[in-house]
Amino acid sequence: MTSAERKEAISAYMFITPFLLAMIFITGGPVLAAFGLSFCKWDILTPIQFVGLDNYKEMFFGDPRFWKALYNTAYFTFLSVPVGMVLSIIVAMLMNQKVKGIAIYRTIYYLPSVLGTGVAVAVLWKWIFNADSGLLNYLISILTGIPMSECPKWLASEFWSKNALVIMSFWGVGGGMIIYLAGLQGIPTTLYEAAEIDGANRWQQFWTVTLPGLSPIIFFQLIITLVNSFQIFNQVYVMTDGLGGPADSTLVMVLYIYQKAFKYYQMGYASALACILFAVILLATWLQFKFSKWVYYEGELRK
Amino acid sequence: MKNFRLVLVAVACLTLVAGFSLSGCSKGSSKLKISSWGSPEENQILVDLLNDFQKKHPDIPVELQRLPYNEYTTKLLTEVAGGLAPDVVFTEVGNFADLFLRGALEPLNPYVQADHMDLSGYYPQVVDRFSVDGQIYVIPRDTAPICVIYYNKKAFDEAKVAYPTDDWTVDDFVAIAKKVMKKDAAGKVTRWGFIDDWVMPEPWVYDFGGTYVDDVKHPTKWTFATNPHTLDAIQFRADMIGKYKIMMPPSGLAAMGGMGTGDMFMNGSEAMFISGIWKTPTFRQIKDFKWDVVMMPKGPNGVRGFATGGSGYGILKSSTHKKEAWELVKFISGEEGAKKLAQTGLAQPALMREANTTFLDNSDPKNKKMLLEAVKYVKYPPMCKNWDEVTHSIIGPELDKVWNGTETAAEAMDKLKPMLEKNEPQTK
Repeated sequence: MTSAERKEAISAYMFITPFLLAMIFITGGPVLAAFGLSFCKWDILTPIQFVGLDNYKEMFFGDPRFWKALYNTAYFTFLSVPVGMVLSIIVAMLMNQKVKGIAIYRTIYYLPSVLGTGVAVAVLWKWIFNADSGLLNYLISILTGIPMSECPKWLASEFWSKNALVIMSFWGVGGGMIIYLAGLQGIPTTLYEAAEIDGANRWQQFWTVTLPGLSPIIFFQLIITLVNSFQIFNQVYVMTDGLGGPADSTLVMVLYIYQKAFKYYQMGYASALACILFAVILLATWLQFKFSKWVYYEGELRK
Repeated sequence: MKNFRLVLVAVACLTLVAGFSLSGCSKGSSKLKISSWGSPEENQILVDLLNDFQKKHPDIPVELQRLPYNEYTTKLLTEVAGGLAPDVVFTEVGNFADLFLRGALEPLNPYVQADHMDLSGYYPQVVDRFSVDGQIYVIPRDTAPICVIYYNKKAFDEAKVAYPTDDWTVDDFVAIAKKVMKKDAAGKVTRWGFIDDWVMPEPWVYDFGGTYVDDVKHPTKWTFATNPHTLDAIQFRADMIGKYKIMMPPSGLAAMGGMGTGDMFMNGSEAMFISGIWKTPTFRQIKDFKWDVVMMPKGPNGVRGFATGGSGYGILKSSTHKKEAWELVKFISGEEGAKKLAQTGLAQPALMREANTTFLDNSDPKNKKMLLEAVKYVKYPPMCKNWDEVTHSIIGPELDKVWNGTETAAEAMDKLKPMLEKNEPQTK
């Protein structure tokens, strides 16, 4: 290592030190405890009892709600992440036009993300999804002519409730947009000029210049949004009063963990669920890294 | 650049120090701690009582911890595990089982006997609920049978229907509910016949003579899916939605967005509403119409049974001030507290004398005296650890399909049988 490299390494470690320390001293303990607890039975008050792999056995072979929660979470993730991503990129490209007053539009599109997915927003969406008098069904009935009474029952329907959550997740497209927008502006205009000289049309430019240029950002966004989607909780908790209904159709993993731990006081089982969720997320992220050949980094040479 | 790095290191160190010092402080207290939940007005009753107690016992400083109802038991259990638990706890029939079955409650017989305290002034049914095998664990504050049907008199007058009386039957109830409904020109319902405070199968289950378990005090198995009366009751609640169309379907309910069905009663969009008597202070604010209460209709099998709430005060085993705690429990569950409670209309005191006098003042609802009769038919949730889980996470999701009309009660029961057999009542 040259001294310049060493210097750079030292500053890099310095930058991540606060987070690293916080992780070790604040998150680290509970994480280890959760792992340990996943092999135990504990209802907070009575003494902890070691039960070996019982929790995991029960989960995989005796608990239909676990599979239901896993399925619901996967359904939500695999629908909301790709669609949300495409929407974000489209909006980002629109917001990258050089039009008068574009800053105002950008602000408007980003605004929902500022509000986040907190309780107030979830309550707002509960109103939007109201089957009999909500805004969404009102719009559907105006656009399609279907009477409101025959529109989807959204949160009250076993079939539509998960899709309602997916639709609600697009509320956050603005957050992705802002990141893609930064990425778009980082693509050197010289590349577009060169492409134009080579005779590439707009569509070809998008596929050969824009997308490869955006790929590191898409990769980053994919990982972050996937992890976040696996952990969806707030919206579901508020919109279903913590139950994950109707008929468990919106019971997602974190909500199930919450129910087991803080409603039914089965800390051991809840910890085991959390460990499995962790493993699933880890696996998903590892797969993404493994198949990340498509990501193009600037300055990197490819043969 | 160098300075910047120094700042970073300093920040990191500070975070660490702060973390350690925060975790170190605030342990133990010489004050007597009591925890409770409740609306501001319910809380005020307790605050006033504690002030009175303080005047009588200036040597026992008391600290009130007010918790949200939804997280009450979780918070209490965590505090017990962490050694920061209160001494006196407010508890109700449901979370009483949670605390008792985990051995968190101090048996109170020795205190009662030492003080020659007379418990015969309390409703025996309530005393019995808070006792297990002859030992009492909670001194009752109030009883709350969920048999109170609030009705909008204006809706009845408009439909030219006579006000219901306590001896009505389920058939009368359905016929009346159909009549007091209102629709607009397009056929959209603007006033429903009936609704419950939340999705509540229990009142109907007990009213139809159904059961959840074989033995409430010492349950060994669930009878919910095998008792034919339970099945009838569940089908009846579903029929109110799908067949008689007197109750708002879940699609309206699930997406109410913050508004509860109680609010709908207040704005006149329901003619009848079932809950406990605790809605009284809220409904006294209604200006647009007169209202009263009536006892839940008699079930088709001629029996009565009412799902019941109610609360009281207990002492945690972990308390280090048990003597003082007992003084406090005695005081707040005594006559003065009962009087204050009755005056707000919030609850029917567990002390019979106060229930028969102060509670029956001339204020609305006029017919609340029916509660003195109703208390004879109270039914309590079984004493098992997994009651909440089984009702909310096993029975509840299956019944959602029945309410939505995608399954009949009989189909749901068939599916529930094996699930309930597997998750038998946990009493240990």
